[in-house]
Amino acid sequence: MEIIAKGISKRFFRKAGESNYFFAVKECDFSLPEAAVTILTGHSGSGKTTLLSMLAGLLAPDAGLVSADGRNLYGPDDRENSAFRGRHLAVVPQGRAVLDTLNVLDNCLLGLRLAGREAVDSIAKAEEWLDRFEILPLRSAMPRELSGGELRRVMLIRALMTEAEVLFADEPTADLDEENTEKVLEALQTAAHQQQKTILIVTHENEALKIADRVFRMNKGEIVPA
Amino acid sequence: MKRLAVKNLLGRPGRTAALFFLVLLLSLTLCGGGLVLSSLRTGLGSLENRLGADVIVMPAKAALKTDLDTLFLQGTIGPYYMNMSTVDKIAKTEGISRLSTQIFLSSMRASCCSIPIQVIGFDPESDFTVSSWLKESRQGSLDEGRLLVGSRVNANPGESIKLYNISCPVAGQLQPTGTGLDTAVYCTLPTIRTLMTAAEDLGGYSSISGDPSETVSAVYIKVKEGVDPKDVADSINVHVRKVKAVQTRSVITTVADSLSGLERILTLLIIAAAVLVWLVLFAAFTLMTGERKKEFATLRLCGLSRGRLAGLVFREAAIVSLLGSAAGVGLSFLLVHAFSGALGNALGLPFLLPSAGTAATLALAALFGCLLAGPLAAAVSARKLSRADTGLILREG
Repeated sequence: MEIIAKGISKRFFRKAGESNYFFAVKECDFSLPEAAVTILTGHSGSGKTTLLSMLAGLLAPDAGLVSADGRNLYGPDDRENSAFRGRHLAVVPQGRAVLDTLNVLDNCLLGLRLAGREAVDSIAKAEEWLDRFEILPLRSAMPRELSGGELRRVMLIRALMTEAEVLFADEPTADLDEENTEKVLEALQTAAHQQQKTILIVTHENEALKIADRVFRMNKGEIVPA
Repeated sequence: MKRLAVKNLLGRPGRTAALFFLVLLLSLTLCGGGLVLSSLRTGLGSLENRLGADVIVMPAKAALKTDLDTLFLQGTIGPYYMNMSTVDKIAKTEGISRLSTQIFLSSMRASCCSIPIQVIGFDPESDFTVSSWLKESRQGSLDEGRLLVGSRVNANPGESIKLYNISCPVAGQLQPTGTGLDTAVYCTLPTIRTLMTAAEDLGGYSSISGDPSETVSAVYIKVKEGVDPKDVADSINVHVRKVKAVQTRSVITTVADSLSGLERILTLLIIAAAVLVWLVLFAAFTLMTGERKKEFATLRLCGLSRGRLAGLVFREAAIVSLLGSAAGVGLSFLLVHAFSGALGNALGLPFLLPSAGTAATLALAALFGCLLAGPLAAAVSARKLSRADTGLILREG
């Protein structure tokens, strides 16, 4: 699935008032091809996360259009947009995004369950991923008992479990040790090259560049050559 | 989604308990308040049915010392008596259709008596106030020496109550009236006269003067159709000495007036309390909006639509509301039932729990109201939450 953004912009107000704003992303044209890992780097505050959110259908641009295989991600029907997002797009956000009332295994299966796509072998598959990322003993633990790195792996498993065609990962290796960083990057590379997924990784870490098919850099809301 | 709602509620026991408590309070206010109001109305209706008489005549001494309402609410006027010859004079008054006498006696707080209690003696032949009640209570004939006990008297049929060293078997228990009549025992005139003689022998009643067989405490009068009870009462007051005749209607009107005033105050208080609790519930849901922003952003991230997200919030609110309101209704019934006597005494009005049908209607209304109140309080929060931009919330970290 190809994601295409045409002339998208997003501005934020520093304080209340029409004139006091800045562009987090400015008139950006961008595309994510299938079966490739695209990496977006840049300084903090350069607009990487805002761009990722807009491409993932989570933040409506002030101007421009984002489409997935020709379908507008910000169409008028929220139910259709959400169903499409749940089925085809998976996101690993930068911050903590798990349900505190569910245990690790239930959090891993959350995306599948909400999309009504849980299968008989879903639990076994989730356990395989948990084992691969060395957190299987924590399958019944609650999120509050997990470290930042463990939580990040849970969010990644949740995204991988949905088997969505497009995966957006914002700093997926933050808080991870070298060994787990390797495993996560390998999983993302496999997803892109063997399962033909479209992958966008936003990162500060040079380690991730090793699996990149394409690298871009953001500067003051604009994409510049890496 | 249903499982997720339940898990969310169980996963946040403190928050769930607080919401549950608020809904319980709302339900308790609505159902409990409704029950109290309904019990007062039922009590007044019961009082009207129980009295049946148009005019009551009592010794003037009793009328001076006793608040007339007390007679109706407590059933007796205390140890005041008049002679049978006075009854004959009263009977000669124009316009009387039926006349019946009653005698009141109090037991003593002494070893001669099992319990301190009011004893009411009546004549089953002429009575038109107690007998219909006995029929409603499906009690058989009252033989000499036997007692019928009020609903709040702690004695069961087959047991005996000792009064002035005389053991009186309990023949049956009467339906509740919500008045002091429930704490009295009833017997025929010959039985109460035997008790009066025994009381005099024990020095229990110095005020019983003369032959007990020639004394009565009150005369109950039903006037002929078309006759104004006021005319009969006035005539008795003019022509018969040392008695006071009162219209029951005027007393019932007094009770009804106090009830009406109290009803207005109680209704206002119930509405004010319910609105206040609902506002707190609304504030609780609004405060939770901020607290749960990340949680809802995560669900949106996983593909949950705004509608389904609002549905989840409503489902949680509905589950808590159902449980809280059911508990509140249950607690209302328990508390009002347990304290009905104390409530009646405190309010100084007849207090009788409503019929099962009325109680069920009240319970259903409170349940329905609270079931709506929870989701309604959550509606604004649900809308606000579902409108929030997921990307922005995640961006905030």
